[in-house]
This record gives sequence, C-alpha cells and structure tokens, in this order.
Amino acid sequence: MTDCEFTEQIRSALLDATTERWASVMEGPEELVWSPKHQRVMDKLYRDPFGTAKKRARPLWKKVLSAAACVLLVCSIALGGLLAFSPSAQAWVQQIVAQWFGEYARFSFGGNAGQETGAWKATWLPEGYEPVEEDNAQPFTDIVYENSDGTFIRLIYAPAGSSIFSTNNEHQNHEQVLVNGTTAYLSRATLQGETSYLVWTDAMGEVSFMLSTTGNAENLIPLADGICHLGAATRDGGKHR
Amino acid sequence: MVSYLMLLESDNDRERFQYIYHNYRHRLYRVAKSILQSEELAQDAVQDTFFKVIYHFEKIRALPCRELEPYIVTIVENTALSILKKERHTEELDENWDIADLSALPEDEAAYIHIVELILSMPDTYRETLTMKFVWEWSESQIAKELNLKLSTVSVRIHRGRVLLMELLRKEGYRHDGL
Repeated sequence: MTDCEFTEQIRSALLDATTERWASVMEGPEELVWSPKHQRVMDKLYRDPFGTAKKRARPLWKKVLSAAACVLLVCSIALGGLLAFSPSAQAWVQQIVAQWFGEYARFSFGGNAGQETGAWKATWLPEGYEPVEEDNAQPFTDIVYENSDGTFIRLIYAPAGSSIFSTNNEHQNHEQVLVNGTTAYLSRATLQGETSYLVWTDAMGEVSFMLSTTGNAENLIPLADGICHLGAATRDGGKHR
Repeated sequence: MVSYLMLLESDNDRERFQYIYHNYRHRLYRVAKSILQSEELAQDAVQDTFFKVIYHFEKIRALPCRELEPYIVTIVENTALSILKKERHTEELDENWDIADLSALPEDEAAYIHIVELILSMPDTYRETLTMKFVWEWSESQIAKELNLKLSTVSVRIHRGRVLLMELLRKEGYRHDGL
C-alpha cells in the first residue's frame, strides 16, 4: 500500500466514522428554527453566499488599512439655508459626520446630543409589510418590518450624540435627500439583494435614525417622512421637540 | 481568501450552496445541538458551518455525492466542539484514548472496518486533528492555529494516529511502503 493509498484509506474511514457516529442523531425530529438574529444573517448568506462570506472573512488589518487610506469627507449639514433665514434655528446646529471608507461608511452625529429618544413610530409602511420584531434595549431601538417574501425593512433610532451608524459602501450609490426638510443620506443598492440605507436626524438633531432594506429603496423616504414621535401624532420626525 | 471567494462566485455555485442549505440545515442542527445542548449555541455553530462551507467550497464542489454529507458534518462537529471548548474556558477536551479491542473483531473482516472502529474509539481531540489533516487537507500549522495548539502537539497527534492505523493495517497483512 502506498502512502497515497493509505492517506485515502484514512480519509475515507474518517468520513464513514462520521456518518456512523451521527446517523441516528441526524434522523431525529428536531427542526432548526432560526432566531431573528440568525435569520437575518442567513437570509443574506442565502441570497449572496460568496459576497456575504467575503465580507465576513475580510481580515481586520485590511479594514484598518482601508480606513487609513480613506477619503474622509466631513459633511457638516448645518442647514445653511435655515440658519441664514431663521434666527431661531441659529440656536442649534445639526451636524452629521459622514466618513466614507472603501467598503463601508460611518455616520456620527454632533449638534445637540439628547440622552433619550422617546418612542417613535412609522405611520406609513409599504404594502405588505408589518412589524415582526422590536428591541428596545437602550439606547438603541431596533424595529424590523417584513413582508410575506421575507424582505425586511429595519428601523434603528438612538440619541444622536451617542450613536454611530455603519453602512455597507461597496454596492451602493449615494445621494443627499430631504426627510421632512432635513438633509439625509440615501445609499441606494446597485445590486439585487444588497442593502439600501437612509440616515438622518430629527429636526432638532437629538435623535438619529437609520432605515435599511434589501427591498425597494424608493420606500425609504416616504417611510422616513412618516415617522412620528409617539404622543405627537400630528408631528413628524422632522418636528419632534 | 478574498480573491479565492471572488473566483468561486457563479450561479452554479450559488445554487449548489442553496441546495446544501436546504438539504442539510436541520441535520447539521441536530448534530450541533447534541454536542452543545443549547439552541442558541447550536444555531451559532450551524451558521458558522455554512460560512465555512463557502470557505471550503472549492473542495466541496469536487466531492463525490456520497461524501458531501459526512464532509459537512465534520465541519459542524468541529465547529461545535470549538464552541464547547470556549464555553468551558478550556483548550482541551478529554485526551484519554481507550483504544478499542480490535482483536475481538472477526479475522476475516476487512481492515478498513477496523480502521473505522479505531477512529470511532478515538477521543474528539485526535479525531478532529486527523479530520483536519486528512479530510480537509490542512497543513499542520493551519491546524495548530485553528485549534490554538502548539505545532508539536498537532504533529504528535497526527503521528500517533497514523502509527496506530498503520499498525492495524500491518496486522491485517497489508504492507505500507511508507513505513
């Protein structure tokens, strides 16, 4: 028997031993039901297995190098026009710091940093979506809406001064849009299955919001426009006080 | 790793992965749950396994059909054992090896069956090392890194396993040219 044949014998025996050891366990009745946390990751992995695995396998040093080489754009959204024309608005400055890295973007928030967010609610959802999960672990509130296809929209909000949001940056186009008159960042996915994001703050700069979806990015702006502070149903996300 | 993954991405590969996911997720979960005795940890193990399936995809794509399931089960088993070690805050599981009494087996049984018996009698630590070496075809330094062991420890385990298996074959009348 050659060394190669011997190695092949061991390999084959290891596989057969594996089958023998686990055969009865594998035939058991218990079924895998993913937790929501695992389900979200597995949905992504299922849709784009190699892209998702590639992102996960990226070594830390590469992320650090990428960050070091990034073009840092500090975008002070000072609501210039509002500041110019509204003296009351000059009492505060809203600022989103958007950092664009090679593969991801990071949003941090200046201006008036609130400590509490209160409860916020979407008054409009795209057809077929309904809330399936809500996590109020402070300071972040995380709400997931889902339709029957399993496509989700996720809303996260937190006190602006203590929150940083990160978004994928590889397969997205970026533009500035308005949410209730407040400047917001829309990252629109360019590939099917990739995530689109919308990041903004309320008009006072106290609460930061991020919506994300693997579905239609066009839904994000009307959904954001309809987000209201609970107990102030007539006020929208841009007018929370 | 990144360039390797980029080369693999194709519709066929994606469909093959989705086939594996649909057909094996429950079975892998049962193995992981049996080892970890925790739904949450078992889900972690199965999720990690599917990522590792992609990292191993070049080999998985080339496997004959009958080897696909046991190959993937070796991944979930080793992943679950790794999680178990972390949960127990210990590097090592039981190293004791009560080598099966192979003399009790009928003499006319094929040596191959004896090898399987011997493997079944191994402690997990030896079996996982041999699996990484002979099934996954990892280098000893890769195995040492994965298992957080000294290279010498990995070498000893592989050597001991090989010697015992060769000895067994020799008793069965096989002559191994590499001895």
